[in-house]
Amino acid sequence: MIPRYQRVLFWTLSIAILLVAAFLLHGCHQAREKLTRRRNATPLSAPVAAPEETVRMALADDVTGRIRVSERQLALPAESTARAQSLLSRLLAEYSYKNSAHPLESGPSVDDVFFVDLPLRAGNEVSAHARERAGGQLAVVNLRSSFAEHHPSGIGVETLTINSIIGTIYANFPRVQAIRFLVDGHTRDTLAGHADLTRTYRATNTESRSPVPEEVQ
Amino acid sequence: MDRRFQFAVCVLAGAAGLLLALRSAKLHGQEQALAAQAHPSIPRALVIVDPGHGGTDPGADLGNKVAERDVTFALATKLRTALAAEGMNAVLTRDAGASDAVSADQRAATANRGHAVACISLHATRSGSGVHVYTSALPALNDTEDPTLLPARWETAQEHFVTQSVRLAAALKAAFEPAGLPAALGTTTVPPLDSMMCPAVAIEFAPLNTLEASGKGAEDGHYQDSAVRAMVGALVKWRNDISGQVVPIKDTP
Repeated sequence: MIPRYQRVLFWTLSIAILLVAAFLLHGCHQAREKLTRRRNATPLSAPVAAPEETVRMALADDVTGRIRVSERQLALPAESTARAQSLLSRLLAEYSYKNSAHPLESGPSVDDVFFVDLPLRAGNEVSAHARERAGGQLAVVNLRSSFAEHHPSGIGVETLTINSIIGTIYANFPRVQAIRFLVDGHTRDTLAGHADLTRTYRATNTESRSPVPEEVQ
Repeated sequence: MDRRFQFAVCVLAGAAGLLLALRSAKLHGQEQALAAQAHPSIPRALVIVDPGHGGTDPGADLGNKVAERDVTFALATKLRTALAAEGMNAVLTRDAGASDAVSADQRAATANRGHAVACISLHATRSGSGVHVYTSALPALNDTEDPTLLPARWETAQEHFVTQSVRLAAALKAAFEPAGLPAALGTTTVPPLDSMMCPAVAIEFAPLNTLEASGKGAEDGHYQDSAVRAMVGALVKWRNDISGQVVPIKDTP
């Protein structure tokens, strides 16, 4: 016969072990998420052989609500999709710097970028609208879900991020006429609850897109 | 003799009653005419108020465990009450207690059924500062016909109303600034806005950075009251401005 105090001690210790295990698992999960987010905090590792070149970045500013284009000297890969991925990753990494005008969390942001020749064909049909774009390209920007999930939520801040990406692609890839966004390879309704990611955006100079409609200026 | 007298009294009483009834009907008609003159030719004084997010979608985290969903609903109910006091009807696109999130398409459908004079989508954020009034980034179409009668694609239905929406945004901005709320205009691509067939704006309330109200967020009651007063003033002016015009409202030189 096991004494009562030993049974109580046994169950108390068992519960304590389970609680500690749950606490440790939770801590491990949090630490792993934190490490995943901060991994490749500086995502652009310059290729040794590539020479530096001048690129244009459309940088967002939360205070003015505007996009301004700024030049940078970067070494980028020659292959176009890798080049676009590196450039956009570098662009979004700039927002994680201290005193950024459009602060975002650090971490990997752009998984990859694809270029698809236009017009897109549905069967053998080519629409009149698509025919106008013949010779151009559609850029598909595949963002990481960790980037979207940790992006600040708000119409203004999300719109600026989207315009920053569109403006940077427009400034550096002249053949791109349209841009679509995916998150982890799938369509997603919004970036962080507001900016629409389901539609195809026209590649335009977002710097010239005034935040104040011209009619009321 | 008694019978004749009784008959005469009955006839006189009937005639008096008839006269009184006629007089009452006439006075009632005059009252209605006066009431109509007080708000001359107001076509549809209905405003659609869309409190952003809701249900399982909390929206932005505004800090101190306050969700954007709750702030936008509080603003929307205050706005509805204040508009009712000004003789305007307001319809909300969602209820407070709804457990499921109302989709953007459902919100736009509610707005489009109402044929409203204005559609206001309310949002709140911790990013940036002041009030931002957004209109659709779609290019404006210069229609010559009533835009409510023109065929429209669901995704781009707002393009027929962009000109009016920009004017509504300007009217709201002009009302926010005297209320001590610094306001800015902008364009955006937010799901329900582009499918709305009415003059539509999305208003985002960010913390204030003015000296008087530094750091106050949209969850603050005074901030909400000031914002609601400004919106009501702008919407009443907007209703009065458009009441004398024929739809569509064309650009003024």
